[in-house]
Amino acid sequence: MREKIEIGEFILLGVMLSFVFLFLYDIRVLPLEGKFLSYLLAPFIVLCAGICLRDAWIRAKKTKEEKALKWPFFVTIGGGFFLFFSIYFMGFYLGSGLFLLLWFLVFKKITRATVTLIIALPLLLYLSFEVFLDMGLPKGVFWAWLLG
Amino acid sequence: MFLWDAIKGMTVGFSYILDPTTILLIFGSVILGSFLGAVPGLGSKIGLTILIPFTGKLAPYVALAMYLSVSEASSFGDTIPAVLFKVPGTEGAAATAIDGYALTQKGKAGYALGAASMASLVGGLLGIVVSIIFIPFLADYVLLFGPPEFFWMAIIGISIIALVSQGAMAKGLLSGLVGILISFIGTDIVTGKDRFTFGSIYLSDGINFIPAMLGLFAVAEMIKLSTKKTSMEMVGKVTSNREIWEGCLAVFKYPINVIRSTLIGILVGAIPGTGKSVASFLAYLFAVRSSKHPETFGKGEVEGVIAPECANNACSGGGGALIPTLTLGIPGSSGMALILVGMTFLGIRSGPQFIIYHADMMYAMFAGLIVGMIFAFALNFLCIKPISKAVQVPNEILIPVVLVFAFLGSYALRGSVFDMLITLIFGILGYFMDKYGYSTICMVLAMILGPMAGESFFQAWKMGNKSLTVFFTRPVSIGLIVFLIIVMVGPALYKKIKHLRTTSGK
Repeated sequence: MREKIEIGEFILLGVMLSFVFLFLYDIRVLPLEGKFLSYLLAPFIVLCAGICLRDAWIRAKKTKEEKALKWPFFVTIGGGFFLFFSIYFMGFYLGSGLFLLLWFLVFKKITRATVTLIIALPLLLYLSFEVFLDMGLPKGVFWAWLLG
Repeated sequence: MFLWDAIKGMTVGFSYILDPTTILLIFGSVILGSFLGAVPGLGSKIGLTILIPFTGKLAPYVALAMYLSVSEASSFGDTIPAVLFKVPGTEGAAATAIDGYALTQKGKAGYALGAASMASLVGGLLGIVVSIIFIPFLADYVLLFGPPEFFWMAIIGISIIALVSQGAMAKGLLSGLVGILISFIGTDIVTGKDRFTFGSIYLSDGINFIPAMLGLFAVAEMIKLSTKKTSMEMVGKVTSNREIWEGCLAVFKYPINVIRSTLIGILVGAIPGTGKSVASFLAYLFAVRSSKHPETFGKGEVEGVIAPECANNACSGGGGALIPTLTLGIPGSSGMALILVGMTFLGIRSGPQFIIYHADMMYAMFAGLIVGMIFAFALNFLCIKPISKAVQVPNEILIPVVLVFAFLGSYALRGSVFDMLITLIFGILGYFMDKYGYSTICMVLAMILGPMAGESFFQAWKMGNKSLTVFFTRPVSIGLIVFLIIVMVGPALYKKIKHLRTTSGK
């Protein structure tokens, strides 16, 4: 079996470490008091990340097979982005309804119960928050543009 | 004296809570907690994550009672899949699954669930009584704390959660430290200047912990759930309510087991960073050791259901874990870390100030929790059959619904679409952190304790004429540093000594 290294953990550690360097690099922060504690914490972060990197490297050498991510994983993340953009463009009521409809279509779960859910859930949330609780929900840039 | 104060306080507390709207909200929280506790992999963490952003407009005591009710109801609900499917709803019900499932295989599912519900109620109520008596007593001592001590408390809180969370300690600490850095983004409260915003107007308000928390828990959990199958097979059925009732009565046949397990739960909960799984397994172990028939355990012994359930509920919710959370601001468990998140969201800082100046709110919170526990028991008693069916909701339906709630909660906080994007980004980050054993709860806790640590650090630094010696010279600070060293180095040192002893023995 060909030896593969799972790079996910290395990427994750890279992301975490990048915070330290980004923060130390941001020289616009003045006076120094504002980031004094960040400077004090930075060596500890680098130390912990170093230990984790070493462990990940040792483990990576032993890993024989990389576990592939399954397609529902990508569907969920893609769904998350779709939900964000659809709410952003169409507003909460239509955006979440469209997201639910497409989700159930992809998973072939169109039943009487799920259709009820697609219609009732956004409506219920819209009524609860927008109407009764008076908490504004996203209106969507498309409607804002259309209505001037 | 303390008892009389507690009675007076609880009378005031109940007068706040016994209002139809409040009761209805608590009941709703109980339904949410019971359902999420019963669905394996979800639990009170998701429930609180979804609930917290929507409670901003409520009276703080109502919101706090709701948080604790979700947490406690989840401890009631998690026994249902543990007993019926041998799949614990949360880690706290793992010990219950051993004998609970064995009883189900014998056709006594209702009996086991009845015993578990009553044990949860008794353990939970006794836990609350102890908290009510001890919390005001301990608060007097915490008044000795100043800025240097609060700085150390924040560091201890993050370190302890890092120590007990999944994965290696370095991973937990790394998550916590990065969380502190993230909490520094935005306008600095001390200097009033923008910090680490890179010129972005979105970042000048900082990254709020609520959207981050929704991402790290709710969205990450849904991504994780999408890669799993949940086709659980039920081997036993609850046949009648009479069977459940018999199970309830069985609890009172073992008073010593109940009291012992409850005390274990309270003590374990009061030690910061432990948790309900430790409490329930320890209580189970003591029940086996002190039983006249230890051979029956694991084969369907009702005492094996009662002990972990009493300990589990005495530890979580309003029990032992609440003591360090309210008095010191150190979460007693990872579940309590989320209660701390909720308190921060409501603008409440836990500690002696809360207990002394907002005692009425604290007692109202306890009163609400008692009401919530009674609701949770009644719900478990009357609705075991529908809840056991609800456990089998397919992931394909659960995931989009939770995603919609998570995004709505994120937006509702400040009315910012940017926060929804933060939720999504932290969701992806949380999934990978969880996958590789980096504690997400530690990161959220650090995002809350970070500003407190920063503020206390700055105040103490100024107090000590811009010298760091102030952190190491005050008696309470020294005590806290010693405690931190013992907690961090102690377990590794103990292992090393044990290892050396065994090798020298050979």
